[in-house]
Amino acid sequence: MTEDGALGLIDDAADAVGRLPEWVGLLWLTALPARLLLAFFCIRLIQLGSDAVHSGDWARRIAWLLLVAWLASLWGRQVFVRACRHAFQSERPASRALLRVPAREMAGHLAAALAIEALFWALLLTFVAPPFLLLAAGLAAPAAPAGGPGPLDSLREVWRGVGPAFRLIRLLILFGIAVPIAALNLHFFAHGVLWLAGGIASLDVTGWDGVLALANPAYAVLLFTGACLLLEPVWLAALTAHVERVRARGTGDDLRRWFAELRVGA
Amino acid sequence: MASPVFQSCAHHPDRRGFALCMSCRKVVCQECATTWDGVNHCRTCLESRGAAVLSRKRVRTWVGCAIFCVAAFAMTARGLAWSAAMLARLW
Repeated sequence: MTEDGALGLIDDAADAVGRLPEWVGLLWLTALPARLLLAFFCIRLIQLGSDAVHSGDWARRIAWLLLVAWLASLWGRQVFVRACRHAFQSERPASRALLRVPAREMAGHLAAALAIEALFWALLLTFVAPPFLLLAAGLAAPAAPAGGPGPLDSLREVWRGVGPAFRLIRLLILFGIAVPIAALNLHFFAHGVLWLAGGIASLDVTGWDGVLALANPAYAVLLFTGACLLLEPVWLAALTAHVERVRARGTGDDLRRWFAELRVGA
Repeated sequence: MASPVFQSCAHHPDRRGFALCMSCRKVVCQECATTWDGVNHCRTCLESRGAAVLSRKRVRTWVGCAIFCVAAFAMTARGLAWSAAMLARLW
C-alpha cells in the first residue's frame, strides 16, 4: 500500500485494476444492462418533460426492470471487490473461486445496498444527500458483507468502513472532476471515429454530426453513462482500498505490517 | 434414586458424580456440570441448547433480511419512478 491520502487510494486502485482486466470486463458486463436502462429512462423522461408525471405506470414498469438489472450488477460488484482485495494482498492472479460469493456476504451487500438505494431515490430532490449516498453505495460493496444477512449489521459495517471522512470526501471530489473529463474524452473519441469513418472509409456521416452533439440530450446522457461505467472499476477499487486500510487500523494489522517491514529493513 | 455423589460421571467414568443434568437426567462430574439459572446442565445438553438458539436466531435473521429486501425493493422502485418524474418536471 502507498501513501495514506485520496491520491494514494487512487494509485492502489489503478494498480489493482491494471492487474485485473478480466474482472473489470465482468464488472462492466454485469453493470451494462442497468446503466443502459437508466440512460434510456433518463432520455425518455427528458423527452416527456412535465408530462412525465402523467406516465406513472410506464415509469414504474421501467423502474422495476431497472432494479432487477441493478440486482445483477450487485453480484458483479461483489465479485470485483473480492478480486481487488485479492490483488491488494497477493501478486498471484485471482482464481475463479472468487465468482462464488457466499450467500451471507451477498445478502449483507444486498440489504445495505437496497437501503441506501431507497434513501438515494427518496432524497434525490434534496441535491445534497445524493453525492454522500453515492459514496455509501460504493462503500457497501467492500464493507457490508462483513455484517452478514442482517440489514442493521450490514449498515453498521458500512458506517464502520467510513473511517477518515475527509479522505472519502476528497476521493468523491476527485471522481466528480474525473467524470466530466472522461465524458469529454469519450466525446472526442466518438468524433475521432466519425472523422475516420468519413475520411478513410468514405462513408456519409453528415447525419451523425447532429446526433453526436453535446446539445443532444440523449447523446449527453449516454456520454455521462459511459464515463461512469469507465470510472466504476477504479472507484470501487479505491473504496475497497479505503475499507481495507480502515480495517487494518482497527485490527492493528497496519502496525504488524509496519513492524515486519522494519524488521526486514534492520 | 441414589445421590449423584455416589455415582460416577456419565462422560468420565473415573470421576465422582457432582450434579444431575436436569435435561438428560445423567450424573455428571464438576467439570461437565454448568449451573444456568440455578439449574444444573451437562455440557452436551448446554451445547445442543445453544446450537438450537443459534439456528433459530439465524433463521430469524434470514427471514428478516428477506422481508426487508422485498420491502426496500418495492419502496426503491416507487421512489425511483416518483423522484425521476418530479425531476423531469423541474427540468
